[in-house]
Amino acid sequence: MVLQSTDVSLNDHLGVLLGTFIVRVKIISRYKGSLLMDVLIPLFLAAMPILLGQAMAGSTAAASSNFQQNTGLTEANYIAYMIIGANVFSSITTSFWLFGLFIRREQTLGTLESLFMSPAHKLSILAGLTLYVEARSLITFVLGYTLGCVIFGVNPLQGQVLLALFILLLGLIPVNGLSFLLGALVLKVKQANTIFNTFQWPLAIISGIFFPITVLPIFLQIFAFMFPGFYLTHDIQAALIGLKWFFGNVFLDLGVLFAFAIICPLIGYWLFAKTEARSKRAEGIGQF
Amino acid sequence: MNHDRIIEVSNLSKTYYSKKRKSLIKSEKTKVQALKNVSFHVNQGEIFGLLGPNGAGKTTLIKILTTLLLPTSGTVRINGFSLDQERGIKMSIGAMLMGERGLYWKLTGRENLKYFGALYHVPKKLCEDRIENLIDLLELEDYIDRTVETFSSGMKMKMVFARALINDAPILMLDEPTNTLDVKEARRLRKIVKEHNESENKTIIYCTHQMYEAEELCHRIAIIDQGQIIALDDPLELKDGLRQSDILSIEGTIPEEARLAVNSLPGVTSANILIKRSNNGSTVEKPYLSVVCEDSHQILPVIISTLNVKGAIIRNIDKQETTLEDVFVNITGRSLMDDTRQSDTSN
Repeated sequence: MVLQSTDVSLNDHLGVLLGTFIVRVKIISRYKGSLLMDVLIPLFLAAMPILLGQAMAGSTAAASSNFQQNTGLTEANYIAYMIIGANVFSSITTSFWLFGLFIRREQTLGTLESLFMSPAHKLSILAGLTLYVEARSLITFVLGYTLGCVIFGVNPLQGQVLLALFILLLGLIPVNGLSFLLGALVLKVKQANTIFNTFQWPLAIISGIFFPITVLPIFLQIFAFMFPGFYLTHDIQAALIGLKWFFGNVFLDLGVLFAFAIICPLIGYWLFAKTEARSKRAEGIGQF
Repeated sequence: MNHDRIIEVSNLSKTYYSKKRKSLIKSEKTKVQALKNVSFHVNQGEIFGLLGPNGAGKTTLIKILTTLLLPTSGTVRINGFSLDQERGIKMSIGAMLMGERGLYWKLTGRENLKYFGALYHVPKKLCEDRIENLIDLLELEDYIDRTVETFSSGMKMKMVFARALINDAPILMLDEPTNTLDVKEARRLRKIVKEHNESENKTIIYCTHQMYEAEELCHRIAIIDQGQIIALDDPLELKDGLRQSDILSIEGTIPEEARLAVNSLPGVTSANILIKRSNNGSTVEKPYLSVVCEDSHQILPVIISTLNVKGAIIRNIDKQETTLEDVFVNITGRSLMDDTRQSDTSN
């Protein structure tokens, strides 16, 4: 009998991780204009509340004053707040839906079964995907934020830019982890777009992208406190435009994001693995 | 051929529930028994055919063997690994399922192969060498560097076959690998399968509903129908079981009443309406009456007069060579081309 070694080295895992990352980069680069859209969409998203605020108040200064009075964020630059919110939300959306949409796309292409048939560890594939989404988010955030600031006349280099980028990378890890939950859901219901369309906007609300969550009813605030995307948005706003740190200082806020970065991927992966096993006992993972 | 058992399957059953739509809102759970106590083994270096109509359970069986599905009961050992040793099984198998699907359309053929090489932990240099060999072997050079979205069905099929070979596994599982290939390409692929088996001692599980493919390639064949193995032997032995009988193919207009009358004649084992498919550019389907009988010379006049009395119009009568299709028809009373999706309904 031909018996083979089933040992897998670190190099093998890295090969899968890097291979997955490169494949994703190549695929996105072949959808012409996709990356440009990633940069422009947050700009359009931010433009709406900025222009609406000005239209309602009569001028930028009046809109800014209204925003400060009604939200209590006296230290915030109203326009920068919107631009940051829209760009962070764009990154959260990409990360949060990444795995669900990935599963759905692979199901319809027929590549999901090919991936599951391979001996590559799923965590290596997921790490490759996460690396891709982090890189994509970082690039589109920098470009989108800079472009937004230039167009609306805000200084993009105000605040602690490097800290904000670090927060973005750290904060997207738990959001990615939560996306495994959605992957599990897609595996079960074999549908991604409806889930996406349903949860997209509630997610924006509890992330506090255009207003602080303190203006929300208490039950929505509770949801926001459980969602790492809220802390991610708030902490980037704190780093760039001087909002108060949510837990009083930067280290506590980073600590909370770090805790989420550990817990969320573990819970997400555990649930995904359970759903995968259930699918294998039923009709199989590739059915769509 | 080495007679070590590289695959052992015993008492494998698979049941699952699927939803059957009754109306816009209502649906009911339907129990599907896809496999029923399937047992067999495959020797190392053997080409083992799984022959059966669509929906017979072949793909379910292959999916269990490739760890994509878990059985409801029964055991499987592949290359010494049981189903809970997934990695061992996955490293032992190169598989081609789902026809031409399973490729990244926005990647080139070469990029697809490189990625799957990485997923199978094939070292980079070795993977590149293998890709070059596969390009030569499967004549992929004209389109290997084009994105898959520009490929024809046949090109995709060949690329999926190349993907199954990229990890150079000791076992190949091929599910209907010649679907969508033209006659010449299908012949070439079968030749490559045979060469891989002979020169590299690969064990091959070959799923098909094309009897001539199974006859041409396989050392042993399991005929599977409605989730059960109904016959398992080498192709000659399977056909020998029918050789003492004659098989007549009667073309024309045969009413059901005439078929039943022939079926009940003494000396006739079975009489069934089957479909003959010929492909001269487009597929033509011709129904005919297949009669299995003991001594055709003696009984033919009786068959003809019975058919005439019952209103049949006979256009042509042939005495056939025994084929695996006849074996299947003789056991099940149905053609291999029939769709026999199982749906035992118990809610």
